[in-house]
Amino acid sequence: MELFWLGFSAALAVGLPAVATGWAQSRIGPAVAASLAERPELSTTAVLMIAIPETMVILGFVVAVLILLQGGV
Amino acid sequence: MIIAMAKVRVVGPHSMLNATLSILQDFGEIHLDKPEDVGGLLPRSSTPREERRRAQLERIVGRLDEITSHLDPKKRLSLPSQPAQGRHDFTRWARLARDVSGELQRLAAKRRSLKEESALLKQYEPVLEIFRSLAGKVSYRMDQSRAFVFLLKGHQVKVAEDLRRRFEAEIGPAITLSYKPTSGGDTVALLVAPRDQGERIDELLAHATIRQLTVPSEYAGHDLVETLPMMRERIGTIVRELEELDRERIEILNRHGDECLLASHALHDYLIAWNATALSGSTDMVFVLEGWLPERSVPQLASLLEVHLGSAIVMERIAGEEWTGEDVPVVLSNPRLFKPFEIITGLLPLPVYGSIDPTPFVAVLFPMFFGIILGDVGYGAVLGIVAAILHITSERETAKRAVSEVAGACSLFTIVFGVLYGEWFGDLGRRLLGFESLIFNREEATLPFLMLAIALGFVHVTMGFLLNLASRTKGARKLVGSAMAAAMVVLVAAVLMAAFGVLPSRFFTPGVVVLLLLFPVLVAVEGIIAPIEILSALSNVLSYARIMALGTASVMMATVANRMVGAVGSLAVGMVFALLFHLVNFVIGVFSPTVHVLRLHYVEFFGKFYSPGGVAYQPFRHWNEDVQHVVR
Repeated sequence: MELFWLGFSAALAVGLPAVATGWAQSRIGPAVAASLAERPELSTTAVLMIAIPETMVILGFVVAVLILLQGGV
Repeated sequence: MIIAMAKVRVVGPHSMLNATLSILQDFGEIHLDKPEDVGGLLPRSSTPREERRRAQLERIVGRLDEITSHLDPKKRLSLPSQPAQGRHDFTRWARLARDVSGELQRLAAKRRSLKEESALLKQYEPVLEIFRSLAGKVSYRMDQSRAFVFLLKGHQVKVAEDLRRRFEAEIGPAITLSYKPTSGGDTVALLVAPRDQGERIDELLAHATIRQLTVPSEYAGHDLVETLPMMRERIGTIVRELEELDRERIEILNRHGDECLLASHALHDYLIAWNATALSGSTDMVFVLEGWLPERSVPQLASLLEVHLGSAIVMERIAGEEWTGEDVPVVLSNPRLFKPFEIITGLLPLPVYGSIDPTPFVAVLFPMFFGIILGDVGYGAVLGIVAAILHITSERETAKRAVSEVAGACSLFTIVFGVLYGEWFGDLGRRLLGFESLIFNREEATLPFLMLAIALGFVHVTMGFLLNLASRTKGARKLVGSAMAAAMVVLVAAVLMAAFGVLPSRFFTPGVVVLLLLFPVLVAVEGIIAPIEILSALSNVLSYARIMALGTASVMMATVANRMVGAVGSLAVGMVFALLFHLVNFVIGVFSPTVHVLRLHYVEFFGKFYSPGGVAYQPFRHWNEDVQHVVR
């Protein structure tokens, strides 16, 4: 049972930020594409804008790993 | 690094302005700037007559550029520019530009018209070909019968059969209707009917909204069967006429190309010099020019002016206290090894003069972080091959060449870290060849890898703070604030390491005490925003956890790819799947670290010290040098 909850919480730690990241990128993507169509010199900012929400899922992944390691899985 | 610049002022009598500009243009290193508004200095303004002349010259240059655009690009750039020869040449060049341009436009118009005619005839060709084959099967006499040709959109067999029934009902069995599909997907139909029924059939076709095929007016008097060979003959003639036009165009360019090129270069140079005069200031007696140039070039320019123009022209250095870093044009100059990485820093606006050019740090840390993430001998070798191909297929000093060299450095670090991790296409090297990791196995040692990533973050962010200290763009108060922020980040790291047993635990209490003491001092120096900045710096450090996350994901995917062999169907199928998966992983493994390492540099590292907003260096020089620079 404990193993189930460990796995479940690790999955939540990755899954929820992944959904949030996906949602954020779905909003940023079209805005960035529209901006680039008018001002191609913003490409660096575009890359950063797209990459910024990924921090959430990366930190979620780290938390998931820590949960699993602390739980001795 | 940003090379040291000097500001100079050149003063001389009005009569020598053009000669001085000519020397400066030949020298090609001074970035002209409007002179300081001191001592009743007036900006130079053009008279309406001069403006008209300038507009006229710009029109001539436009024509000449249009003419020279037909020449070989290498030839366009290689011709040395010649100084303008005076008004007489301008008149001749204006006439030359008008005549040659007019002649080329005439040829271009004729060429366009021939192309259009050829395209139109080629549209008829397949239809007439089918008509000819249909007509061959239908016998009719020209004096007693009339042929109607029409095109039905799509393969409309049913429509054609309906038409046949309707015509037979209206006219009788004397008509013959044949049809055949074209290669374009439509249907060509041929209707032969007695000549006296012609008008009735015209009406019926119009009623059914079917358009008859009409050939171009010049073939109107001919039988359609005869038209096809005539059209083919015309297409052949058009090809010959087009060849003749090309020969004529080449002959014109051979005859006048060099002179047009010379005129274009000279006029461009003349206009550049004209624009430069607008940047000069003047008094009743003298002109004043001010500008920036690399510090090392100042003596060279001084001696050049002395030799060519004598003591009538005075050049002096303007003391550094009189200008600010924000106005100074910025020239980046890095060693050959670091130069390609300017493409990464070049994606951001130029740094202001007096700040730090981060290219050398990027040149070391970008490929290193990339290698730490991808860290695989196999993938590194593949990336090396891609980099080599890019290098071979690129020309010197192009963006493609720079990318190939950056990729080469990344592949080198990937191989080095691959050896340290013992990875060769994931765990393939370990399983088949017995490679062992020299530091840790990333598949299992998740925590040490995370520690390494965070430690890199501490070092990188602290380095950013230290570079901010070294930068000369901030005031003393800001510098103290930056130093304290750096010290606090280091202290927080030390306290955390003491708490987790990496450092002896006796460091913990003094570390916390010093942190508590420094905190109010930092708030006093930096303001209430300081605690937020410290928290932001710590979150920046945590952001480096992505190195571990991406690296672990990469090695896990490679391992999964290897396990496909034997897990999916036969060995061969498994190998194909494994190869495809490795290919996908390689693409992701190159793209993802690039984006994230760029982000770590731009946001976490540059954010601490980078001061964008530098002025681009645009030296006053000859036009062809400028064009070559842009083309590169």
